[in-house]
Amino acid sequence: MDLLRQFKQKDMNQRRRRFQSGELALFALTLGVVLFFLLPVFSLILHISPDLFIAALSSRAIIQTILLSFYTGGIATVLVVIIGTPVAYLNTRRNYPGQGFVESVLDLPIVLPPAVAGIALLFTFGRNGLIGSGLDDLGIRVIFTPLAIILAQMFVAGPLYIRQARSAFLSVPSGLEMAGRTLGGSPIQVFLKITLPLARYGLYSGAVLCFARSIGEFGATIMVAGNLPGLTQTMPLAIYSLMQNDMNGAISIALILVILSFIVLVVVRYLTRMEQLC
Amino acid sequence: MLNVQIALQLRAYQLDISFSLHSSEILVIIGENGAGKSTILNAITGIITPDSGEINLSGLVLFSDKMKIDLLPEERKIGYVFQNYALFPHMTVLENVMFGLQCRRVPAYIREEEALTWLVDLNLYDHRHQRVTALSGGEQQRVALARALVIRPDLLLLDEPLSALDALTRVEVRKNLKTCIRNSGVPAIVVTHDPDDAWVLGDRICVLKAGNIIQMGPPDMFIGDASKDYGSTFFCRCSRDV
Amino acid sequence: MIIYSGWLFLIIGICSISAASPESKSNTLYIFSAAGMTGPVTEIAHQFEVENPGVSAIINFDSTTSLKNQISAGAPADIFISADPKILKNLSDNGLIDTGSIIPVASTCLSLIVPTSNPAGITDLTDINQSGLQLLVGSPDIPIGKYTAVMLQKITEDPNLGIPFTKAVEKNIVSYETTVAYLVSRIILGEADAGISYQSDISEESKNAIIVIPIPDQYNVIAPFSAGIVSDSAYNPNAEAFMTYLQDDFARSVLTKYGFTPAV
Repeated sequence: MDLLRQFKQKDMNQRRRRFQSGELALFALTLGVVLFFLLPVFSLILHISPDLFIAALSSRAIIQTILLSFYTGGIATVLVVIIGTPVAYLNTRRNYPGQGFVESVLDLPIVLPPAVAGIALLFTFGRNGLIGSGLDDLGIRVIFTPLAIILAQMFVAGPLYIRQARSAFLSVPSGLEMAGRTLGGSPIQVFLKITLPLARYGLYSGAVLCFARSIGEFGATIMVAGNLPGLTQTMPLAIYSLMQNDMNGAISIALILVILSFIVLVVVRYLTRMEQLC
Repeated sequence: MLNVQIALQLRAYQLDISFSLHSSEILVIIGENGAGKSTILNAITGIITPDSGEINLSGLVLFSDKMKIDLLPEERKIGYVFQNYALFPHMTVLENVMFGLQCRRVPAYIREEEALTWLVDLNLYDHRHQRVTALSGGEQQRVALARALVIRPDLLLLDEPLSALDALTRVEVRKNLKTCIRNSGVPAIVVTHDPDDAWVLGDRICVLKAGNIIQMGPPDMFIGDASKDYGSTFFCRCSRDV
Repeated sequence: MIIYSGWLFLIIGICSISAASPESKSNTLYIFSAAGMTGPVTEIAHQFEVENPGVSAIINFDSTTSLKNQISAGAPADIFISADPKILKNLSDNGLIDTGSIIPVASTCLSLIVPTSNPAGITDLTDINQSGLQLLVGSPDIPIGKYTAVMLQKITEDPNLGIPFTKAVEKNIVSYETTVAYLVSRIILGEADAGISYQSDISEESKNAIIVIPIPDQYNVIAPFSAGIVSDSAYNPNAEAFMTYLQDDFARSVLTKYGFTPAV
């Protein structure tokens, strides 16, 4: 009996030790992965000195491209929120035939390569495009304007918001909305006073993700908007262009995008935590 | 004065019921889980639409498939206390209670006054600015009650109002609940699966089985031999002393 | 034959290089070519493969400037065909191109291109200052853009056209394309009214889909294309063979077909 117990004890100790060495390997792997993601960022920082960074940032061309990116990204996000919120809400509260198809379509741009999105948008809004030719007759030009950038950003980043909004609305129990209705609230009152406040953190983080994705969009925008500094040269496009002969400018813009991405991450983490507390 | 006569196809069977409620009466609907009790409440409130029949309350037709009338939930003056209270977690006690009045565009000072009156009556005044999530089960139930009664409904519906409470609080809360409903003067329907609740709360008890009312009457109708009928199986003691 | 484009090549090329054995490497030929020669280089390389069985030509078409950056970053190229001799010289000064191997390939000049539908009714260079015209030019970082700038400067110095003309032209520019391939593609699609590109056709497709309007000699700029062997690549007999091939009869006939003037 004692012998058996001794054997069992030894086995457990060995298992404990084996588990620890396995854990060590996992930590090493994690460290490797973290370095893999951090090193490129560090190499960017190492390639430029702070004064060159500041000098590049004060260049008019670079300021223009930053403002353009923020402006188009901002408008795209606002439009996505206005249009996407009711759409996401409908899809969580009602079942209708073809809903699965609709939801797949709304998710599609997330998996579609940006270049494909770019070509598709070009053929839709270009001068000879499906919608573009009609707009052209009306005198409205889409291609080569910031409007094209906004459309491309909405196409590519919109589904990110809609997804988050769907999940945020799903987390609001419909029982609460029913209670509101029985108390005398119309569907709109219930949506504004009950659903929206309870879903707001999810919606905020969706909007932030949409904005970040819009700013970073490159493949689709270059196809539909072209490259005109001051009008259609967004930050990623500027990096690509400046890389040819103004490395410092390119690195500076790249660093701004890195900083922006970090801010986005922090904000989204904070919002998610607030959502969980609610 | 409530008249209900509806038929509705449920998953397992057909719900087919007919009953009336007199003013200031508390009717308890008791039955097994899945018998259709909550469905009746949802149909009266307008959350579910029956297949056929008629519901009228205080002379107003809420639903009639013959006349093609089906009022929206917000158009029916009915107070509903949900099983888990459905209090709005992002609002304080006072805001929750004022919600119905706010939706009906009652001016701010009036709605605050009305709400506070109810809170005082229900011993919730000290909690008025607290988040509802900070309250105990019994307190939350009182908030739900106040919220439903402040809109001066013609009818009060309560779905398993005591099931979320532990055994000890239950007895106390049940007594207070009865007093509160009585004092409000609003007719009420209480749905429960607990025979003690039915016995204490009900002026009339209605037994529901598989979508049909098989028995209806005052509580003492159900004391007696357990083997006599289905209804009495709920009250399996010869006398009750709660 | 495999054609790639851009930085994608860098990744795939490096992976395949590291996985390749010396023997298989001597059978592949990596050609980095300016986009302006897409059509002729494709045909010439294909025929080279036919005449040299076992050799596989992998071509990377992109703007000359982008290719220069890729080679500087270590992309595995054997041959570099450049639209700007200065860029080739720059690389050879830095030791990345074998100076002795540099040869002129062909030259062309600039022209105006419009879609076959010609929505703006352009007949002549002097039409491009019309208000509201959507004009495409190359980005100033790439050869076509630099040549265009020189051409515009010549126009500015002409008293008949002068600064008002070029100012109006500059107003009409809707995009500075990052490679001449995009410029031509947009014209083919009819997305813009006109573009300033090379007189030679860059590809078979562009031959049939655009109208080429010549630019008067007094404003035009000669664009000399040259090629060199990349020093970094290990000794590749195919590279030297291909450089010779570029000067042979077949290559010259193909270049002429596309509108280039082969080097003597």
